[in-house]
Amino acid sequence: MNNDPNLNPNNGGNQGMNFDMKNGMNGLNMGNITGKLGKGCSGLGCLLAALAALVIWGISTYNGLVNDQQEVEKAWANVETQYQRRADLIDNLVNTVKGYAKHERETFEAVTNARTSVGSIKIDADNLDEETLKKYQSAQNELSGALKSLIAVSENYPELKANEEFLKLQDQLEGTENRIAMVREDFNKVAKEYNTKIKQFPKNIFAGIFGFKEKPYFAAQAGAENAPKVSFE
Amino acid sequence: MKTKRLSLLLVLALCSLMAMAELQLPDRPNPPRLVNDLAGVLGDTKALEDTLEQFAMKTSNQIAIVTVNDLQGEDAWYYATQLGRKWGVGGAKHNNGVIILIKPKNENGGGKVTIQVGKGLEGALTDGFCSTIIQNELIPKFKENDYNGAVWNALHVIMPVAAGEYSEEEYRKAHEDDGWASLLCLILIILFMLWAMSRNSGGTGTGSSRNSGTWGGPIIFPGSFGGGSSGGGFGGGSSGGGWGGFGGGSFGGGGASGSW
Repeated sequence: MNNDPNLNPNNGGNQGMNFDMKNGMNGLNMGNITGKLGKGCSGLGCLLAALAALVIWGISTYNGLVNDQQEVEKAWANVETQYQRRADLIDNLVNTVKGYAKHERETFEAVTNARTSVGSIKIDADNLDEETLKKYQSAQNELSGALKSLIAVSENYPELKANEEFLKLQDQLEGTENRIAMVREDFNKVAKEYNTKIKQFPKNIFAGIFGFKEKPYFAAQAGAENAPKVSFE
Repeated sequence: MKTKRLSLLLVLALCSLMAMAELQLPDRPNPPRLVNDLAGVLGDTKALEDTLEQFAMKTSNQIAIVTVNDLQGEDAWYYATQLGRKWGVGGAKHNNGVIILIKPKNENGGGKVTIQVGKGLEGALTDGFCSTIIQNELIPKFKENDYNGAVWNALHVIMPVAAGEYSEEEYRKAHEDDGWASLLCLILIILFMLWAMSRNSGGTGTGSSRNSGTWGGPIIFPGSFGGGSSGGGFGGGSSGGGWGGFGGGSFGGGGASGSW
């Protein structure tokens, strides 16, 4: 080592170790220890190496957890996209049905109310926990129920049932319900992978220090149970 | 009697639960094949396979045809989506695969069909369009027990659309033209003839339209209205294989399903 690592923090190679260690230590609020060691306690060489290894391991663990967390966030974004898509389709469906079934005010009101409450719930992936997800799901389920009765009401209007736009919207809704089922399944999968990791020793220590929180799951059949069956017959 | 029925129901429910827990999907075909007639209803599949392999080589879009005798209690779309993911139909980067899954009408219940579309092709093959293809092209032929013909009919629409040579709009128009445009043309011809006749024979003395006599010329129908004549286009030559196999594409539930 011909350069003092403290003067040359941008150096890569073998000095990268010292650099990583410093940053990592700061991250752990242990910057003052680095300072002491930097003054050249040569007898602590072994300890230094062990600490460096620990810090490197810590950094890679941390990065790994961040990656997994981002996967969960991505999966959650997909969930929200598909539910949003469904909400938009429901808006269109309401408009189409209104043209034919003017007197079903209660049904429309139920859909509109459920639609409003769904629209008002936006959950950041960071704030996902059992409670918020439950709220999200129950709002979506309510909308599913309202949609179900809207479609049931539509059965009484033969002209509506033959309307091309109506048929198209039903096809799209059916496809979207399927997409929702898939993104929920995918979300549960990545959330499970992530949860398993943050609970495993010794990663759970890091998870605790850096505030990696457990992610909730979608209830298995809640969606399938309430999803309106949109079919041709 | 009642308890017996109840216990049977319980066993059935348990069975279906177990089936749900563990969906047994067929293994990825080796060597890779796009046509997998596991139910044995398609007859000779060589022409289909050749056509689809050529199509895959030309456009990179992979269309897999799969027939199974039993969906193990699952919805067709879910089965197809899981199968598509397991086999990796379509490219991994573009997710440009299509699965047509057919469960023929048999002792396991009614006929079910689904077209599942990878994300990359959802723009061209929308849910509504897939549904239209199922209702117009597939199910009528299924009802005649002509599974092979049904698949060809669907492919004649899906392939050009997936390749971007043909759009949903054009298909719908062509289909409407089948009825309306021919009828409209016929009405126009009749009107025109009536008009021409009244001009020629009427001779009410105004005489201003003498030179309209030359109007008796032929009226030619503009080409073919239906999709009927488009059949020849895809004949496969000898494909030396080498379409490369499945590419790791994924499926997200886009597409449509139907039953008969």
